Amino acid sequence: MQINPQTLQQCIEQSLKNDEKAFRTIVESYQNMIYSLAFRLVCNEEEAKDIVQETFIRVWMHLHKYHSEMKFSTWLYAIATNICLDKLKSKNYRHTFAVVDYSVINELISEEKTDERLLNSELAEVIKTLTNALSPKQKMVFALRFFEDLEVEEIEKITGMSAAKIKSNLFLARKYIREKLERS
Amino acid sequence: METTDNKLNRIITEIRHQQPEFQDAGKLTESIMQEVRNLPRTKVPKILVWVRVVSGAAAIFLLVLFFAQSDGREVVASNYRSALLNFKKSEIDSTCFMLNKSDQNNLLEIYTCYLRKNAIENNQHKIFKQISEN
Repeated sequence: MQINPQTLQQCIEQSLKNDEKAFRTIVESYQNMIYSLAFRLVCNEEEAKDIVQETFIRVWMHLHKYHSEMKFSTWLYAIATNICLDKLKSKNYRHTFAVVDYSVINELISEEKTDERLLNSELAEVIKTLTNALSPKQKMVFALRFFEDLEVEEIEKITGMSAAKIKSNLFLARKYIREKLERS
Repeated sequence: METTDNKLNRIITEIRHQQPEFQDAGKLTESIMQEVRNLPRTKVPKILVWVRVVSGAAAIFLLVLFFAQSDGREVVASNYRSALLNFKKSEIDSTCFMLNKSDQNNLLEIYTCYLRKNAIENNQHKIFKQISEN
């Protein structure tokens, strides 16, 4: 659900005055975007929903810190990626060096099957296989650039990393994935 | 034959286009709103922020003033003390010392000289103490 900038600004101002209806409008407008990012990073539906909930709770608590010089979606992405990064760094999501079966990518994503919609479990499998051995930061930067299709300037604002560091992480992530695909 | 780069680009494009299905979005919104209702959003009143800033600045100013003043007084006192010591050595000690040396002066004269010397020293100490206290 797209929300125009004037309506968004009004909703923000009303939310600051504890107007729940206005805040609900913000949640409904942006929760799909946050869910999409969270799912692509953690590859789990329930975890992604937890991240969405945590994100909007933090938005409610810290809305007074938001400045309109920054795009609201950028600010939301920044909060969500911090939560995702903590999850990725935690014990459960440590990347392993176990042998990964890249044929699952060929099965699910082929030139003949471009119009078919993947189930969440299949999409999670493809993403996990592709990004299995990347570090949490590389995964985050890779997802923001290639899956969310964000420009490097916006990723700088979201992550606080310099453009050089972002590009270096992207280069290494892509190089690593390409080598794995060649070997498979 | 598809190159690896082309294959990777195709996979990335496919993942980008495949939006994950968001089931029970309405339920999640309700859950979020429920959590938000239970949270108090406390905002620090602006006036309190200003009070903190001003009191912090005042405290720092007073500390700086205290250290600056105490350093100044010590410098003045030590300069005075060294001047006082030099005066004593040169004027009084030499007189009594000369009397002591001479065989012809009696003990009373020598004793009186040192008494006078001590009185002068005590008086100067009193003055020094007054200055340092002020």
